[in-house]
Amino acid sequence: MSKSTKKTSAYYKDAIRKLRLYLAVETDEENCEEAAAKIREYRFKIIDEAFDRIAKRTQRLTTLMYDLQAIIANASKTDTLSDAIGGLKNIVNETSVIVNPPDNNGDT
Amino acid sequence: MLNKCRIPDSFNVRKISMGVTIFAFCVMLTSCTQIPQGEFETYRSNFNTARTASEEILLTMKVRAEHIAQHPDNPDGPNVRQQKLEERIEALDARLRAWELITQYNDVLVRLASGSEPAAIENDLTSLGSNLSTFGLSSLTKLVEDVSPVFGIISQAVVMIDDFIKKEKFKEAVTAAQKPILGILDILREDSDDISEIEEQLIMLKQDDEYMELARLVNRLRSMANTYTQSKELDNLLSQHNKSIDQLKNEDRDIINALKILPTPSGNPVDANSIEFETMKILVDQIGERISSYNAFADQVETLNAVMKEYNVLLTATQSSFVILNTGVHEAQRVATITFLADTLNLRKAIIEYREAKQK
Repeated sequence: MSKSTKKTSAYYKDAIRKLRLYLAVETDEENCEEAAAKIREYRFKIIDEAFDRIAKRTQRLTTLMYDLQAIIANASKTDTLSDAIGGLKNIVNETSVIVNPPDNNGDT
Repeated sequence: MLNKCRIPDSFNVRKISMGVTIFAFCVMLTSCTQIPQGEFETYRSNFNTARTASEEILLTMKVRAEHIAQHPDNPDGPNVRQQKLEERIEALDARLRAWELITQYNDVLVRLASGSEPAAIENDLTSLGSNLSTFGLSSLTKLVEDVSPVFGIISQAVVMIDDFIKKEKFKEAVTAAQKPILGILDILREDSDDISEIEEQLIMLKQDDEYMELARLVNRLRSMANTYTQSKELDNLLSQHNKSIDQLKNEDRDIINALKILPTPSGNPVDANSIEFETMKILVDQIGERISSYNAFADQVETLNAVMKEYNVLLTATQSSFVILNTGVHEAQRVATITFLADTLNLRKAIIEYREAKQK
């Protein structure tokens, strides 16, 4: 949590606490409604700030994801001897078909 | 062209076996890596648990983002709400993609950790030999005849070398991914504080309604209590009320004191009649019910905090197990050298046995 937005959230929370204290003794309906509306507004501000902090981290997250993608790509390109033998087997197989074409009795 | 291809006469089994052995020893001397299976399993298990928990939390947050955008008390206009919603969904989706990416990375590690199969390699070599023989070149046919009896030994050597390559790749991948994976998990941990805050505020929005109603009832009771002269019955009733107020969970001490009633009659107080007492009793009961509802939301916040604390612990455990895996990969090199040495000696033994059998 960044220090500045944490401070702002703390300010809103303190304001909510004071408004609740005010509501504990306030009898005027209109004033109470106004205080309640302020509390709701501050709660949405705290929510907004929390979402903003999450959104701000996305850029850093994306950079780290690019780094990990590069590591995955590198680790996936593992040339093993068995792969080479498999590849050689396929090449020789294809070549042997060319060198020794199968009998084609259906030729005209 | 093929007919011009010359296979050197000296290309015999002995040279192949020697080559394989020398190469294997060279590989061993360079360095060795062993995959610490226990640490790898722990990391994957922690990761899977953390991923499941995190995805559930992130998907819930997407629903919450929609809910906030449509909330009647949201002070933002429709355009701002929509813009914020899109940003929030994008940020949450990025987290879900990060989990998917780490899963892909783990799959690569699993592939690297899995050993090669000598039987499959031997089949490939046999097939390769058969196809070479079909070319009708005497030198090639002879080579295949010479080499085919040691296909089993060559396969074992190939497995050793392949596994060595894969384990080295595994080590490289684990070491290189420390920064991005720990960084991603750090971000998810930082997010958890904010997710907790959002969830808490959404619960508190509902609790505020209970609090408003509670405060209204308390003020009504206070107003009535101050109208009447002090009596034992009134004192008992207010004492009951004050005890109820003390039951408010997680509430500020100043607010609790403000909600308590200490009668301060003003003007000319009158004695309360039975109906008025009944009305005050009903108010005290209603206040008690509101306190229960209020406390139910406080319990929700408490449960949420406990869940988010566990989630944070899970993410930390996943980070720790990945660090331990990295340490394990490096520490296991000594053990790996011994294992590799044993494998190489076994291979050498097989080659000697083959030679002996051939000489008989």
